[in-house]
Amino acid sequence: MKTKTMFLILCCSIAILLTGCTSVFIHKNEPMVVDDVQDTLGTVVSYGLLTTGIVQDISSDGNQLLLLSGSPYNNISLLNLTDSGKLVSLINSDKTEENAVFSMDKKNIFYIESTEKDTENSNQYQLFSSTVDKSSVVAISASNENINPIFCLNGNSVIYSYDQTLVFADPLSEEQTKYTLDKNYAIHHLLYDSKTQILFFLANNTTEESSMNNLYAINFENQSSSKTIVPVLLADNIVDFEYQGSLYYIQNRNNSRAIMKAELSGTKISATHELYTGNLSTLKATNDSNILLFTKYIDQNNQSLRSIWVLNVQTEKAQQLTSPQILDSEIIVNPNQNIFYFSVEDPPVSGIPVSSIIRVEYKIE
Amino acid sequence: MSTYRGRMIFYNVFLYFITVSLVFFLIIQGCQVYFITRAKNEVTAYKNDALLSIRQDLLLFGNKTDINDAFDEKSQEFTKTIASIVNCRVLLYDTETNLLADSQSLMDAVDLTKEIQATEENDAAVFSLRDINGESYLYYSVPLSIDNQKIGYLGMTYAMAEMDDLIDKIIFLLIISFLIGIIFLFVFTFAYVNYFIKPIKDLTHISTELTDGNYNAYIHYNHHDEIGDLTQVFNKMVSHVSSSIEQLTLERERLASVLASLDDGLLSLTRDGQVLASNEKIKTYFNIIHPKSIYEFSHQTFLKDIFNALRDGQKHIVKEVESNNMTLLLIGSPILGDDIAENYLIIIRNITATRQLQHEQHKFISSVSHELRTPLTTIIGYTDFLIRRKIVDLDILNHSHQNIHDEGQRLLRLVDELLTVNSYDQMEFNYHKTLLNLNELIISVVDQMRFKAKPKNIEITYQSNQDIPPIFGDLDRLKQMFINIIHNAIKYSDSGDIIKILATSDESTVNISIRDYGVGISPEELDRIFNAFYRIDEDRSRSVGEGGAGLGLYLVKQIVNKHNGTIGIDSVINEGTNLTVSLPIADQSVFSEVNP
Repeated sequence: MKTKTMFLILCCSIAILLTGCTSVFIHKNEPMVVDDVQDTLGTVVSYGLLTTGIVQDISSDGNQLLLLSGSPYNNISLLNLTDSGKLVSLINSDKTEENAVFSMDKKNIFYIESTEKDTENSNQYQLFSSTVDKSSVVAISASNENINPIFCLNGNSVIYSYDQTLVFADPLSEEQTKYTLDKNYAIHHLLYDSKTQILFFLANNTTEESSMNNLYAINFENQSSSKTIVPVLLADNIVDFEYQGSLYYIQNRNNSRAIMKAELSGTKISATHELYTGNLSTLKATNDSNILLFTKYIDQNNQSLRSIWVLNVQTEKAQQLTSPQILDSEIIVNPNQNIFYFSVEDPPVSGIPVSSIIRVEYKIE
Repeated sequence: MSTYRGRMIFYNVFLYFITVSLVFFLIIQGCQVYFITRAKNEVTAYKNDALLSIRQDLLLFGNKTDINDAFDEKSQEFTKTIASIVNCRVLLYDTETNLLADSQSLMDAVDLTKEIQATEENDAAVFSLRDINGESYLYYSVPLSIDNQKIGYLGMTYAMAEMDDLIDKIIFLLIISFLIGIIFLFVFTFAYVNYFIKPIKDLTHISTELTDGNYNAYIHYNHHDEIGDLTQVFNKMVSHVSSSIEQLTLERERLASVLASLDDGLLSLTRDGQVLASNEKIKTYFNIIHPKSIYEFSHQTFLKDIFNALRDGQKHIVKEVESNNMTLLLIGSPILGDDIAENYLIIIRNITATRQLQHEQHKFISSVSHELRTPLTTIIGYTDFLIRRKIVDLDILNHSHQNIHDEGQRLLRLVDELLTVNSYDQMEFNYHKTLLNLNELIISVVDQMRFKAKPKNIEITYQSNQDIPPIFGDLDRLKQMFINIIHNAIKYSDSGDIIKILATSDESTVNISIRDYGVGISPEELDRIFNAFYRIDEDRSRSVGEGGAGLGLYLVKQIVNKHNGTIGIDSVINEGTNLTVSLPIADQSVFSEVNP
């Protein structure tokens, strides 16, 4: 009896061993319905081409787009979205304009004009303001300041930086308030919340060898310009961030990135929550604080092709809205509708790169 | 396989094989499930990329009225575009499931017919696992719809080379691990089996020693585990067995000593004649050492007769037989017990001495009767003669009265001797021992006996060392002893003979020899000369009318023994007899303590 049992077990073991390489749970050559994979396909209401160029900003009423036009896209134009796509050239010069944004009252635009230094093989940037009706162009920063091309709005005024200095500049009154930082930060992204008077910025500490970008915050409430400001480090190894009532940021992890939501108490993070992980690239907040748009590349080895996704913060459900494409711009979100704009690289024409501005209307489920 | 070690190795290898098989199975299946699930997720994402890409292109460059035509027209372009985005071979089918385009060469065709048909039937995404030329692929198909209008089907083949590579590596590593494991298993199993079976070997060894009678062997195992419990119990058992064996041995020795101390021979037999127990007397009586069976007593048929009679049901048998010049009394009886089978006991008692004594007594009684009868007949004869004849002759009367007186005296002596012997036999003498000068005692006795010897013209001489040490003894009894000896010497000496008495001493004893040159004593008689009532043939006596009751030398022997002395006799027929008495020299220190 014992020998028979052992023989039976041995036979079963040999059978298991011999069939070990054959898939038992999924039979070969037998089609099976995929019913256990969550589909992340979003609902796109419309997808259309607006014009060529690189989209920069949208007006606060959502009716006008700022875009880089010309060839090779170094001039600034205004696309009227309500007037059958009428394109008006705003800045047309020999120099290179970039980073154009509307002021809150959409009467002015701010932009960076870059000139190539002959001696140091690097660009020199100067911040300008121009009225939308092209009646005046004002230089916000001095030509010798060698400012950081990254700036942000503070209502109708603008905040920019150079070296260890932060400058709050009002183009109308031409007043400037300068603050000195404790050290020189290579700022990549600036965002100012006028309600809380907190300036968030993503920067690489140039005094350290690390190439890691950290997220800092400065509270300008009762801040004296005579004192050196020491920014508060909010989070490290950050790829991008947005502020829309709550702070959202993309943080590098070991092999992936995560969209985090952080609750702030002043300039301190009181709580964080992970919303989504993946090969994330950029993050954009909509006026609905529960909806985020972000870009996602295919894999680590191919970061040029990026798809655009929408994330419902409440449900933490992400849905894909566009196929992977080579994006030339940030996602420009219409402040009043579920519409966003972006520029996508098209096949070059006669060796000249072509970018198309795409309008996408989506639906949140 | 017949050994414990072999079985343990087999079981270990068996369990190892089963475990490795299960591990192998679970790892491979787990890998496959993981990679297939991952592939399904990836192709589903690819599907979204593809669907969005197609939709975007169709929306940008086509219109809804001719969307199917545009799809058909641009399908080849779509496959290229999608294939550049996704890591798959992409195939597009129209709504009739006809292949429109393939991202790779159509020459290298793949057959997704079954998947496309299943997709059409289920109107849902379908996948299958394919094995193409030894490589695994996930075939995937999904219906393509734009704004709820079906435009065709998307097929993708997802190469699962990573899974195949990993499984190949796992199989290779598992085989290597299995082989190394088998080697280690054998080595370690051999090692630890030796370790584990050592206590068992010790148990076997100790058991062998126990079998050989060594009950002091113990197993030393210091671990508190099952083997430890076993060895503890075993050691306790050994201790108990040792104690029991010791007890049994003691009992056996006691029984053996009891049996050995018996004056009787003892033979305990089973019903089939096997000897259960016997003692040394059996060897003495029958010259058979440790008999095993009754049938070894081939020359003692009387034993077999008794055994047979007992086996036939006789309860008690008493039989007297002659064997080896001995008179043996055989007593046979069954050994009865409630819990044991019927056995038999035969007791062999040597009654030769008893029978000899009885013979001597009979002879003595006959002799005494004769001795009593002779003087009585003489006395009765004379008195009858005097009464019937009315003798008045004074001489005759005097002669008759003298004879009657002599015979009366003889009767009186006989009666006195009988009374003396009787008193010796019935009680211990009340000895009054004092320090004695034996020289003076012998001179006194010699002087007294010279009167006895004078009528026979026998000369008695006495020589002694001047420094004869004193002895510790009873004066009267010792005198009686020497009188009896010298009286016997006179009695069996011829007229004119000489009796020589010599007293000497050594370190511990005083030795007195009495030498006569009389008739002497035969060797056969020498052995019995000191027995009570034994008398040498009266005809050989040189003294008429002095026949005794055969008690003289018996009394001598008793007195010597009471003084812790020895007596020896040498005699040659017609050449005389030399009798030597050795008495221990007195320990005066003891004497002074006894009589301060």
